[in-house]
Amino acid sequence: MTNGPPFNELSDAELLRRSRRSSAAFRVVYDRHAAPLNAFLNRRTGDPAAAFELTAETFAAAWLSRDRFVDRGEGAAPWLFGIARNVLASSIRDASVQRDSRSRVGLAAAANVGAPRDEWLVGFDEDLAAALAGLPGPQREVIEMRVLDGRPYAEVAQGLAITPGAARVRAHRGLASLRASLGAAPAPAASTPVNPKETTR
Amino acid sequence: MTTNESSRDLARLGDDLEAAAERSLSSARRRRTGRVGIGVVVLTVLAAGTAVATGVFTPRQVAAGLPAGAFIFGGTHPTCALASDGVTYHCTLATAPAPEISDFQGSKQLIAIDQKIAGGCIGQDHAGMTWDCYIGEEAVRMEILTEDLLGQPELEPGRG
Repeated sequence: MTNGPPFNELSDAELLRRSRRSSAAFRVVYDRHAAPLNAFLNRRTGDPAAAFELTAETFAAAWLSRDRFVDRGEGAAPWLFGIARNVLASSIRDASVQRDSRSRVGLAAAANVGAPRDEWLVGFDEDLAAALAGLPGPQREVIEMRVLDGRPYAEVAQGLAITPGAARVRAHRGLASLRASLGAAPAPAASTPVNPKETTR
Repeated sequence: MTTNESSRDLARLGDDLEAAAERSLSSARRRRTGRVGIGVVVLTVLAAGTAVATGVFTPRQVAAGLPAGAFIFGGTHPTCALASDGVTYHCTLATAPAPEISDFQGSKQLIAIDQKIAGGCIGQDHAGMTWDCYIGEEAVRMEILTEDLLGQPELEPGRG
């Protein structure tokens, strides 16, 4: 990238468009969404190993179908969680965590993961909505704008009449709260979906 | 699995996924480069069937291939231009496709050239006036069609 804003300032939709030619663009989408998605799947399954395998399969499937992402102005999160739901449903149907997409992109899958259980899918959508609704208002606003809508921090800050730095702080705290409400303890900053590069800007 | 282990695993998965994605893109670039190089040498002697396999067609051929491949493009008078990436044909219709549906964005349609399926297009707007089209293996990579369909007799005769 020599022209235009850095990847971490771009929306999810723009990143997915650019990922037709750039693996780095897709990596930014991954960095934004992998931890919340994995935490959510961990909560659904109660099985960290299975949750990780489902996360891996979800992102491999997302890479393969990135051309089919339709920008509805809501960022990549609903699309990714939709893929995760499908991966989970297929895994339950086949009594084995799906690995087709990982095979197609050349990613290894764990050999021993327990068989998925029906209850992992029950209440999937309601659970996700409840986790978001449980965040304090200011944090939820930032998370919705930054993570779910994929809007850059500058735009989030403008929309909420706060500084970009304050938006980053709220997002960081909101993601920590979200992880906690999804059943995962706070993770080090370097592993949060907020790209660490952004904090230096 | 502890939080730190989980974080490390996710970071490693991100690295592995990015590397796999880069391999996939590099492979596609090599295929494109090879196709262009081969195409320049043999373009004048290749039969249409071989052109389907190598993806060497003029924008005019691709434009004509839209109504030949999909009924909805009949009478739409498409024009196409090859993008700088060397693989994407940007096609614009003079009139809206039929039958009208609520949203053509993301819709996938086949292209037929010389009565054989040669590739496909993806709708770029809701009205269906602009399409990005791909030929041969590139259309397979874009998941418009499966490889076994390439070179097969057209499924749906055009009307335009």
